[in-house]
Amino acid sequence: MSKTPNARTLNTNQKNVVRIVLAAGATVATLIGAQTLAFSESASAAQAQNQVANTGSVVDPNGNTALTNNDGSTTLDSGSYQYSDDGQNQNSSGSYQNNSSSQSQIYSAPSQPFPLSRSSRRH
Amino acid sequence: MGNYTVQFTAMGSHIQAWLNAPSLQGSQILKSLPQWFEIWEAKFSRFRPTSELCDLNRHAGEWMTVSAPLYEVITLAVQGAEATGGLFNPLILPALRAAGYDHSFEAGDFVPGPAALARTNTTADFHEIGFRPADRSIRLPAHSEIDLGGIAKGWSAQQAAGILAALGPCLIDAGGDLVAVGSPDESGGWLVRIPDPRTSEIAHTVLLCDAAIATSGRDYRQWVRDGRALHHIIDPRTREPAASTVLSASVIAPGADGAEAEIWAKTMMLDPTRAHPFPALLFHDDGSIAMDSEFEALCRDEMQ
Repeated sequence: MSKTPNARTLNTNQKNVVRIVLAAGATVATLIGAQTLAFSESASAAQAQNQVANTGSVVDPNGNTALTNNDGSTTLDSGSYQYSDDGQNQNSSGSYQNNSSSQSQIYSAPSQPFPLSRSSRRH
Repeated sequence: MGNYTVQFTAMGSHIQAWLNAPSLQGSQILKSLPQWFEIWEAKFSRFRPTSELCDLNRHAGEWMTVSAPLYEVITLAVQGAEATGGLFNPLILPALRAAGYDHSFEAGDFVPGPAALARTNTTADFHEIGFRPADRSIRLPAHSEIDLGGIAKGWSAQQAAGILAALGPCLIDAGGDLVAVGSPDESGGWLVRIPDPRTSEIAHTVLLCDAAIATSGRDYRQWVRDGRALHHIIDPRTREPAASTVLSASVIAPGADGAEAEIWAKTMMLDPTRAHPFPALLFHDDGSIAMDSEFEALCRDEMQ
């Protein structure tokens, strides 16, 4: 289990994100059960740049392109986190490659998105 | 509450997840999904030489300590093989490769591998896969190879849904196999459409709550080699692409069990007359559609 950032250094929005992350981390640890789990998060933008996920911009339901703090700084990337079920930080080992092709943008969606179930296909 | 979604590609498929959350900020966990799938794909992919699965295949005949996820998925695969009398068999990889499916469908037009590449005379006996829980080791039968394709994807969707479910109702679409938890509205679940594989028109709409649906079929991941139409559904009894009358099979498993849904969808492709534990819908080559009463009870066609 890696370190939690010092909450005293965070603004309100960042604290909220950290709370969400910590709750999610506890959930992951519970759900994965017997697996050894390392779950970390970072409030550092510099660290976030080195992380695989959470690299995209965010679009909120009102069409804003990103959530910002009152002071105008972007806070959402502070919610980045990663885990490895082997207890290793795969990013920091340098062996981890993100072959997922997309930036992980979040969009609002209708209450029933009606996805299709069909035989697996290439994207 | 609103629905928030993220989509990306992983495991050779389009992946999309929806989370019903009180705010955009409460849905930020969605941004981690690509990373989770990447971690799982790095373990389960047969197309990545560096994957844990490829390493295990290279060491067939030897005991090898593996990660908890790989141990779990192989355990589920063998349990599925037992439950289906071997119709679902994770050891069909040599036959799959011999049929030409020796590289990913992920990019560009698929050109099958040569027929002479890996002729196989037998399918290894899944009973010979050894498990040693004490040190989490597995031993594959010598000269065998394991493929976890669909079941690994179903398991990954289930894991992702399990994590997201702590934050709200959620739905994971892993290339057409879906895991649904809770309900985003008063309808009592997530509505999922099933197209007719011949026409692509919506044939049925089902309501899923705490359930998984997997669809296996011959309509995609197919190719022609030497004038013969081939596909990726291997019949372990013949070690050839299945000569099934079923074009696609959809199975709904309770408990958001994506792996079970995948196992039984593939099994129903191979033997549509087989007794099955979960609701099933079959599209046949002749245009007929068959569903059991349990599946029919989940249909909400008036809502499509």
